[in-house]
Amino acid sequence: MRTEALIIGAGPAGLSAAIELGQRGIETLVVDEYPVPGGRLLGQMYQSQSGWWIGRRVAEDLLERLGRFPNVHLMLETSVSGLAHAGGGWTATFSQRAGTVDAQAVLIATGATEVPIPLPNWTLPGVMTVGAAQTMANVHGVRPGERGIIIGFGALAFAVADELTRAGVDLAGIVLPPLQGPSQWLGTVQDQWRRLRDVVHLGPRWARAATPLVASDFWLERVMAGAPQKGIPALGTVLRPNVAAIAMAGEEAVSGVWLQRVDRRGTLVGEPWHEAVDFACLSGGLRPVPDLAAATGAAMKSSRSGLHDVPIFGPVGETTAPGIFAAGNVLGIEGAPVAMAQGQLASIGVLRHLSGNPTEWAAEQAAFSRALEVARERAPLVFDRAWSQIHEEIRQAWTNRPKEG
Amino acid sequence: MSSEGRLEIPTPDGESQSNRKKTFVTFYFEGEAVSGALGEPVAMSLWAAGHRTLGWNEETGRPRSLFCGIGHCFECRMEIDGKRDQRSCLYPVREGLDVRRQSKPGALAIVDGMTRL
Ligand SMILES: Cc1cc2nc3c(=O)[nH]c(=O)nc-3n(C[C@H](O)[C@H](O)[C@H](O)COP(=O)(O)OP(=O)(O)OC[C@H]3O[C@@H](n4cnc5c(N)ncnc54)[C@H](O)[C@@H]3O)c2cc1C
Ligand code: FES
Repeated sequence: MRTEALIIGAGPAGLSAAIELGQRGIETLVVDEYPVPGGRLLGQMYQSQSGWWIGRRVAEDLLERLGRFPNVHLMLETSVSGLAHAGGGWTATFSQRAGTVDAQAVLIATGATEVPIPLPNWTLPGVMTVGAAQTMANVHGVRPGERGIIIGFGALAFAVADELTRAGVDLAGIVLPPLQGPSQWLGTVQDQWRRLRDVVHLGPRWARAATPLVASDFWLERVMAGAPQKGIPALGTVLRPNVAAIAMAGEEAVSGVWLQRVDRRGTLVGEPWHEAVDFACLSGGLRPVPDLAAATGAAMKSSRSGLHDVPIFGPVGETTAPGIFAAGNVLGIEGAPVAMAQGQLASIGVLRHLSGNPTEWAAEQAAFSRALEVARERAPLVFDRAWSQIHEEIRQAWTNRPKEG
Repeated sequence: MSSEGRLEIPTPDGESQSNRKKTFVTFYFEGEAVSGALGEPVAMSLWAAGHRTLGWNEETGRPRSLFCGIGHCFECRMEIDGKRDQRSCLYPVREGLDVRRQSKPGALAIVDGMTRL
């Protein structure tokens, strides 16, 4: 099979890019391994300043627009396992299907993945990532369990707590992850508490509980360390900011969690106790999936923890591998509106690569860049504050990159 | 059983977000009939029906299940219609699928040239 443009990933970034390419007559193939297009949009549902963000509807809207272009094809249930440079373009191989696709330009829009929290017995059935519970409840209408617990503070943890409790799922609260041991990237107890700042502005239910408590480190520390053991009501459940999960319990499936108090410095104190739950959601944070980009030989910016590894990219999503573009969470963890603007920008990169004219579509590029800025300013959820700094470093690395002769 | 395992997806602004009408079909899990929504991942139907152990770890024999739900962790691998190592969190339900757990402990397995019980 051949196509002008191959887009890997039918999330907000890939679909937005496909619409732009579709409009401009480019023969485009979008592949996704999930049986439903939309990527992580499908599970998103939260309040922002401008009202409810219901990702499934955004996805439906993007797909409806995409459906108008006979030159765009969508192939689901297809995992791209490799990309090889061939004859001036790229050949993609698939893991479940025979055959390959040759494309002149490839957009990698494979999104992000969750970082697990390895605590004792975490492989028991019923222990899952917070995103898995979101997918179950919001995408497929499947009840993750009768009573669960969320382990780890962060934007996704808080959003999913809100979503699950709205769906009528009982939660024993949101507790800290184990902060001693191998999970160094989870930071200190203060880092965990500070994540509340990234979400307090989100609508009345969130704000009521947390706004006055989180403004300064001084108060944050006192309020969090001094919270009652049963927690502070928030998000339809309770925040338990001085309680950490130290192990999961159960034989054939999870039947409980071992909890222990932590003090202001994050040290475990007192005796652990057991609480019964039949599911547990780990929220260790999100990281880009850099594998396909790295496989093309594109220059990567690597990080000490490995959690911030991304390809070095230019203003229209170009990487240092010719004909390879990237957009969305594969470039850093931000919300879907940012991914959509990045997808539109990357379509300009693809168009220029196909035509060989590096200056065309300048007005569109300027409009999409503005849209990206606006999306960043208005972002209702901040996942990881490190990304703005990393993106600044990448801008410099791109400007100073060694140019081909 | 299957209705207990299902939720109405909440409707924050009054409109239903799960407006897609689901069609339920029957497939087979270890030979037992299970009902699942056409097109939803096999792991989702099994979870809704109360089946949580989707297989066993090849090394430890410990039960395994869905972990990430979106194809990243490979913990949900199952044998589907005779094909091993299918990610059941991605594999869509169709009428009559034959879904089986892999690596049952106690079953004879050849690992690295050594026979283990
Ligand atoms: C579990 C999880 C939950 C999230 N929840 C939220 C939330 O509640 N709110 C929020 O604002 N943001 C959330 N995010 C962040 C989210 O990544 C962005 O909001 C946005 O969806 C990113 O868009 P994207 O197009 O870059 O990637 P995605 O939306 O992740 O889409 C990527 C697509 O690529 C496909 N894919 C990946 N690899 C391959 C491959 N090798 N072959 C074929 N297809 C492939 C995937 O199946 C997926 O459909 C979440 C992220 C994750 C990982
Ligand atoms: S649950 Fe992670 S790949 Fe299926």
